Amino acid sequence: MDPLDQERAKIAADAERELTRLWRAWRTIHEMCQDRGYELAEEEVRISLDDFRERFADASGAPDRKKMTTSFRPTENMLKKYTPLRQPRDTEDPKPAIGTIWIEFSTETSIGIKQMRTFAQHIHQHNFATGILVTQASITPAALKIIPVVLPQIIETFQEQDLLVNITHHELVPKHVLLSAEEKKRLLERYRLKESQLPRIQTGDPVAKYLGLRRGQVVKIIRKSETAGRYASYRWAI
Amino acid sequence: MPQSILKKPSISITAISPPPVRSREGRNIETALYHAQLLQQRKDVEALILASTESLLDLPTSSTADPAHPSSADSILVRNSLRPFRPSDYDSLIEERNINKRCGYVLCPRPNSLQNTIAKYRILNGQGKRNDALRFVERQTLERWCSDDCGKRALHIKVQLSEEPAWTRTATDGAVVLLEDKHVIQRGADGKADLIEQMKILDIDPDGVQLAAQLKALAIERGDGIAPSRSCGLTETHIRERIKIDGPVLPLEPPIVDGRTHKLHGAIEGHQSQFSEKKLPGEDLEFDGEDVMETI
Repeated sequence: MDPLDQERAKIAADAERELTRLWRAWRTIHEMCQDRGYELAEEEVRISLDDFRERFADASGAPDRKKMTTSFRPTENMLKKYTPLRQPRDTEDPKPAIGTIWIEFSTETSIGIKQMRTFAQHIHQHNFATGILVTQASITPAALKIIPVVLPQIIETFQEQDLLVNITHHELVPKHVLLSAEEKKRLLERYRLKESQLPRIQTGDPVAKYLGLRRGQVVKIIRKSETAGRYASYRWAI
Repeated sequence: MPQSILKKPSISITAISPPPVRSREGRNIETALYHAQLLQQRKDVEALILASTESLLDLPTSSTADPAHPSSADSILVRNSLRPFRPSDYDSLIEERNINKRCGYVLCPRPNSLQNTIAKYRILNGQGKRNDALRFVERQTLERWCSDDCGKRALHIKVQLSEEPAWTRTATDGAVVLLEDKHVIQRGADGKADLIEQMKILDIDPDGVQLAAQLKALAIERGDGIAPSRSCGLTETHIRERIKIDGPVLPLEPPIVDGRTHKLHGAIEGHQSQFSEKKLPGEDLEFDGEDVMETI
């Protein structure tokens, strides 16, 4: 093999590895959206590597991140779950605090204030409720300060390397289920608790990030127990 | 009927207890408000720093600007925006500029120099021997500036920034001098051997600094902590500075007609501080006046 061929083979192998990496991240993020309750078809979630290559690879076989954007609508169930309780002073029914989600894989190698502003601008223009930015490298601390500025629109960020495996499929990760406002109220009444008396979970926790937990929400954590079969505990996101 | 030998309590209580007896609830609200305002003030400052960082990303305004001779509008903007910055904020500004492929020095329009590698570290030959002969440097730090000159200029700014967060500083802190301006001032001052001017340039102002520190310590000791915690966004202040870049800035000549007039410019709204008269009795009159200015 002459050196030129060798070089070519190396580039092709690199492109293939990159493609596989992105395929795994793409699948994880779809599973994540399905678990959160967005409307997804089963074949969208279980996309095969060949289909992925067909859709997103360019002529050289490397993945084209520009094409890797998508958006999903929440299901009826999810809308119900995110609807706050009706307060006595409310004149009309409260609106659900969730909407269409936008997912984008960043083409930039490093994310600064400028890139983050462009993303926030895009979310704002198209009126998405949530935006997920998947980046190749970590985001600068200054750029992260933009996220609270654009509230109530929510920006979540993930790194590609964190999405290579779906952490919730690991056997040591128990099942986390988000409670609706109604269920939370019933839980607190049942155990005669204030919400601050519950154990807590940080919103930066990997599983909390996976589910997109917000401050004040309560998750039910279902573990296997040798003696009791199943054991449920509740945590308050903070 | 036997009379009580105890004193009537009503008198003693009114004499001892302080006049404003507030309810527990009122006091709690007051404390909560005080801390909420402090937090708000802090948030405001952080938002301001973020906004300043964003505006400084696009400097200088013209693409042909020379970092050695910045336009006066740009340099004023830089000095004003950098006031609330801490060194860490300044570092993140440099990082942001490098991400946008610009030299880390705010007044330089050139792109940063790139190393011909994507490795994380570079090995450089140092000047020393044995252990110092080789240096392992992160590639990122080598790609910060367009040239060593810009690196020097940027570091000159960085060392002037205060580690203290802006929300605990006083309003006068945090003035920044650019390297170029400093040279201009120094050159101008060489001609006129003005004592105060030289003291200012050399930053030797031990009495002034000490005095300020002492006053601060005293204030803390006395519990003057209930300083206005009002958010800086709520009151409108217009600070207009008189900045002259191309020449040495001479301080106003204090009139030494008599003791009274020369002290007048140290007065706050007509009130004469008693402090300066007791302090520094042996000091030169001129210098004394300058000191008061510094501490106020």
